[in-house]
Amino acid sequence: MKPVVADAIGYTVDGVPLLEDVSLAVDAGTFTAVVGPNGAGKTTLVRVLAGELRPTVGTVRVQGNPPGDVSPLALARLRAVLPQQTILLFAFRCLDVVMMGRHPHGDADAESKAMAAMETTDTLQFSSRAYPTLSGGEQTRVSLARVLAQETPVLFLDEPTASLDLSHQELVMGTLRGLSRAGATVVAVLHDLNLASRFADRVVLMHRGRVFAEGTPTEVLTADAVAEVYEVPIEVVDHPTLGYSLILPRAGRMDG
Amino acid sequence: MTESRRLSGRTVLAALGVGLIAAVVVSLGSGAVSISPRSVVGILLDHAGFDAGTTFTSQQDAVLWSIRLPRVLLGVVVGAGLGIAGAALQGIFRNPLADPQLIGLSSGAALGSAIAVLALEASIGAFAAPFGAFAGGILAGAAVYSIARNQGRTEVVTLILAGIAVAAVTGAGAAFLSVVADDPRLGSPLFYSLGSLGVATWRLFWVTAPLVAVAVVWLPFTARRLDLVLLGEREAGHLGVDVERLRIEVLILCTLAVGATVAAAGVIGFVGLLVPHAIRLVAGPGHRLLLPASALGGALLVVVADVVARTVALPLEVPVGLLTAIVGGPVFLWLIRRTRREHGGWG
Repeated sequence: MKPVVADAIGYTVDGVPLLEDVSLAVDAGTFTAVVGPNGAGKTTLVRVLAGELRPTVGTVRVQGNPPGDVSPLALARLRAVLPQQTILLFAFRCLDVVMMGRHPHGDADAESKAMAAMETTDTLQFSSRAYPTLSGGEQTRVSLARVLAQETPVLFLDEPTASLDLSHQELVMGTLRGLSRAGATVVAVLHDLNLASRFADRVVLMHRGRVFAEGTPTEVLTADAVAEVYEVPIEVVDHPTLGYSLILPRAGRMDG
Repeated sequence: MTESRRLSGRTVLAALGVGLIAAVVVSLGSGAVSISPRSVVGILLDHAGFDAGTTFTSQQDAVLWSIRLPRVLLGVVVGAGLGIAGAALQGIFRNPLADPQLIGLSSGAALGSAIAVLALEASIGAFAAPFGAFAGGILAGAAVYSIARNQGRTEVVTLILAGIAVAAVTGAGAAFLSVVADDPRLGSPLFYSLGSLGVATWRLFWVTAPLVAVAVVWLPFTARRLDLVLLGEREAGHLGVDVERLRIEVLILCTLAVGATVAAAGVIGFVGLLVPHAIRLVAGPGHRLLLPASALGGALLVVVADVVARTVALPLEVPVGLLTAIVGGPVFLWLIRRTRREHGGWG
């Protein structure tokens, strides 16, 4: 049984298809990056996979269950979701926010598990600060700790690195890869193709609501494929000493 | 500077509880017939079957037991209902402005109550007013909510704008009925904008208290889920909360409480807005403490406002809603400034 499966799903709003004929089968213990230009359907795909939106056609299964067939609490023990940004109008302390991740388990040692998750995302020093007083990147790391505290076999993350500085990008991507090595199934929407190429096991390249290519980073993130989807001329160069390749836009637009 | 200093839940509840008891005793003793706190306790013990050895006149006994006690206890119930409903509504709508009056619930209830009193009281008796208030509140709440709903989100500002419009129409409708029907059971038009505990009787208390009690006892069971909703509707869903069901549950309970208070004491503003914000400032936004503390704080505010309302201009009585507004407005402004300093304001 594959932990995340989409079978020919489509999602349509007011007659406009946001997803068309998307099929995926994600292996356990892998880190999958979903990439693609703005409006390609990345966020919609993750929301449908996470059971937040019901696909218009096709079926989704998380840990073998169609999300609509299990109770919300049971689903919350199967998968956790990190949205793009969590805005809090009321001043919960960060530790309280992370402890909310333990809600599906209703356990007594919520606090120690929450603190461990905050340690992982380098946010323990914020534990008694009010969440709204943190910067955007700090809030993202606290929210990530909340998601980790949920301790689910499947994790969906929507741009977990978008507002992070370089060192915390490395920390978060390393953490996600570590989770997948420990057996978790991680699916993350990423904008930075170089991060995707370095850290992910599999890459799903989305284009206009469809899967344009799916496979290992080197299979998918070729200069031709990226250039076609992003409509920018692309150069892929092997770095002389780092041991991975870099995906770089060439100056000037393609047909300009 | 950014460490959140907060009082423990036990401290807050104990302080509010002691304050409420003191306010009740002072209120019971205050008025045209003055009764010392000692005699107040003596009379109450006497009715409970104990002889406390205090002396009091039979007039004091009659005033306290038949007039003031039902009124003060009704104040406790009304304040508790408004306080806890304000806290729960702000939580479920993720909206710091979601006060029963501002989102149209109170005025909808007032109109429903007035209609029910005219149309149904003859047939179903004392429960006509709270029944009509509940129906009116639900209709007003559902209208406001459906207008504020857009693509799976509740628009924070639209909710308040729609609430103001619905409150204006229904509040005016209730006041209009009270003018044209010229029926003593409806009370004065002021009842529908500033409220009054002046009509309190034991019977009114016993009709109102159980309805408010349902909300006060039940709502704390939603506390944990309300905390999660504050993270966001999507986030709460990811964490296993059936947000739509919770919203219906909370809205029904709040309308039950608010409807019962409006049927008994009219529209008293500011309690549901002021009290939860004050509690959050000293004890944080967690609903496990916020809900019971807002019930106690609302009761305290209404009891204090009522004793001032009926003694400040003796022998005249001013509407209790004037007092909650006169006290509540400045305190709320101060709260806004404090909140901005401590956690960055409301944006």
